Amino acid sequence: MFNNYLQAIEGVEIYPVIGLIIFLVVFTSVVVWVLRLDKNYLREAERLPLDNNSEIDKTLSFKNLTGGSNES
Amino acid sequence: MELEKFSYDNEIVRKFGLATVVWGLVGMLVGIFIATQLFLPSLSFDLPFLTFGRIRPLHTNAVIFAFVGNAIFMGVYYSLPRLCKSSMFSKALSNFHFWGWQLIIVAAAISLPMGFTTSKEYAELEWPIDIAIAVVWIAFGINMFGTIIKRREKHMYVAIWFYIATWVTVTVLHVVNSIELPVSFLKSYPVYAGVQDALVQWWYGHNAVAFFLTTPYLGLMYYFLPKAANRPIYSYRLSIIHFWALIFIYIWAGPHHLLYSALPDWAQSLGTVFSIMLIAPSWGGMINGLLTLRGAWDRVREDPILKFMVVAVTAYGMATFEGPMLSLKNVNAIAHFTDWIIAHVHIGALGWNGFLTFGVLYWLIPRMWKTQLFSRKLANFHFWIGTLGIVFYASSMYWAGITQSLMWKQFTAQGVLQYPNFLETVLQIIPMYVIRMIGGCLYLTGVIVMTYNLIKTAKQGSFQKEESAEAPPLELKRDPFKSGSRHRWLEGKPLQFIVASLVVVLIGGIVEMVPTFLIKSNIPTILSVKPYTPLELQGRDIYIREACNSCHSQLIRPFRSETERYGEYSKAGEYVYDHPFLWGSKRTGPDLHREGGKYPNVWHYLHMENPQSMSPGSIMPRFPWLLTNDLDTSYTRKKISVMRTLGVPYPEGYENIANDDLTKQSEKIALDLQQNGAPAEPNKEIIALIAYLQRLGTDIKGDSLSTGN
Repeated sequence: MFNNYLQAIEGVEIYPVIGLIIFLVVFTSVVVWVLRLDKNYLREAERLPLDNNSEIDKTLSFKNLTGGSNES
Repeated sequence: MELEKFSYDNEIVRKFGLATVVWGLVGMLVGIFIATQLFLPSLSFDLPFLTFGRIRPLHTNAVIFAFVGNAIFMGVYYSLPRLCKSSMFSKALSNFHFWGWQLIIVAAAISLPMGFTTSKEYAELEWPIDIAIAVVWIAFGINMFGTIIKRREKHMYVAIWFYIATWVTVTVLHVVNSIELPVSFLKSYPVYAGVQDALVQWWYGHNAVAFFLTTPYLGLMYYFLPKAANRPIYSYRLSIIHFWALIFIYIWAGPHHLLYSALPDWAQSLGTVFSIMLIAPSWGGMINGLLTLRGAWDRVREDPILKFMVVAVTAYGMATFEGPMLSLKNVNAIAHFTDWIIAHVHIGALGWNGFLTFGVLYWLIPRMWKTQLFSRKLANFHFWIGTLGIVFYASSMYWAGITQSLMWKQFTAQGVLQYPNFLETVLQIIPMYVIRMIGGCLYLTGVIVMTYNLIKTAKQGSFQKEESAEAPPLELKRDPFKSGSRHRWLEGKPLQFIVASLVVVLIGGIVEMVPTFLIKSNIPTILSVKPYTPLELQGRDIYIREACNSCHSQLIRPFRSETERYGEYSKAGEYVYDHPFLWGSKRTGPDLHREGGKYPNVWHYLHMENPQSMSPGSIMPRFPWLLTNDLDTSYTRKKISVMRTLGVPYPEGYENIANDDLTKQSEKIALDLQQNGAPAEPNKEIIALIAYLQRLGTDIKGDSLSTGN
């Protein structure tokens, strides 16, 4: 019943196929891209949140300030 | 190279943090209030602004946009400048953003209980507030991109990508879903009608979950989890795939909210397929978060911050596995319209959003106040009572949802419904509603303890408004293509990044919506479906004002159990004049799409006055003011002409005589009521509501499938 509505649109079946193809292309290229990434870059990038350049970070170090001993 | 000196604004983080805690307490308290109303309906005290229908949107908006929203901004205003090694672009914009957002929340908290609502879930606010949201959101965007552009760190860390995608997509969603024509200062009709309106709304609703409750929080996870664990994220590669796959796929999955509805099958199936695919990136993200803690599990045992984060990420994994399962048609057939969905969203809200927020707060507050947390014991207590609260909440709602659904579908050996009275299936699950409320109380207790703990922490420390930092300036003279891949090029240029993520996000939306917009002319018009009469239209607006759609659906699915109970299943062509659509998403009460003609007028009159008089044990609140309020007909004219502008075929000039028709119809209904012993006057709101209820679903009665063009 419901899919009758769309029959009036020419070639509507192609939409999901296009969708799938677009997705596969994007996904594959992202994966290829990521696998070829430079290791140095990755090492640099992943350390970014841990780069403590501010006043408090320097004085308080990396500890979680929950009152217990949680040095790593 | 010479180091540049600058500072981070901790004051704005403090403000957003404070707002997070305050609105969190308010939102959860309101949640407990309406949860209690579901087994103690007299708690509405017969006051319009305390009824479930009006307060439920207040709860959802408070939790999503006030609690989670402020927590997002708290996290962004802390992490973004630090990741960019730069102060925020403009302190004035930061403050404008903060006060603007709080003002919007206050406007919502006032206008929603007063009954000003568009009826669209999570987009209930009326058009002037919509515009205010857009203005504040753009200010946030300028501030964020300004900061990114003037940064001193060449790489944009993955958390920032999530922030960018959030901003870009929420902008698109908000604009597209809020296109409406004003009738008055606080009343508007959406330009979309029926099936299209439903599709746009759930494209919005689904992606509001994706891009307001998920992507910004993933950004927070990618920043604060490594911070708290003091180790980099498990795999940066995985985080890149996580990001692109997630934002690409999420946008397609909206139609899974409309399975078995009058939405075209094709769009439904697409929604299901992409929902299943979503498991991959979601779990990629969860695994990335959990594996970050590899080798540090001993610390998780002791550190309440890590505990909160681990449970948050696990809840994310559970909810994102359950979501795709719920979008399978056979599962959805059972789960939709029931408390199962309530359980599902609360795993996300209480577990993922709530617990991650608490983890971040416990990490941030002592740091910004340069002290230790006041009490680790209390934080651990918060963790355990919060977890217990989630368990109580979720398990009772799963139980309630499945029980009720099975009762709805149960036939006797003779082939008739075993529980033909809807109320019977409600009364069965009342104990679950009580347990849910207890779960909510446990959870809130934890938050209150946290608030105390954080206040004590702040009191013993000293807050530092500005935190100085230094970093070398960013060297701009480099060939972006020279050393490495394209992604690094993309990352170096925030503008390109914005465009790329916008394109990725738009593909799904366009492929999904364009055909559905084309069908406007292709929906088989059902000849007997006519526009609402002026009185019915007014009644419909009262239905919207009282948010009846919070508890009653108007969508009968094509199942035998539903056609037996409610009547002929719903057709897309029946909704063509519905601006907005009122399908609803939860059946706390029965479906109303074929309500017209089911009961006499006087039944509705007495039922609205006191539902328990007609249905003993009903948990519906009373609406006595409908019997005494005069119907405001001053906008009838404007309403008719706005509707005609939107394409509803009222004859030219009809607005001038609309109120005459309205009076005639209301006198007829009033007379009928009087003859049946109800002291009804024709000019009261109840008459309009009855007119609308009696119209519902009657268009196709008799000649159900006569179609033509």
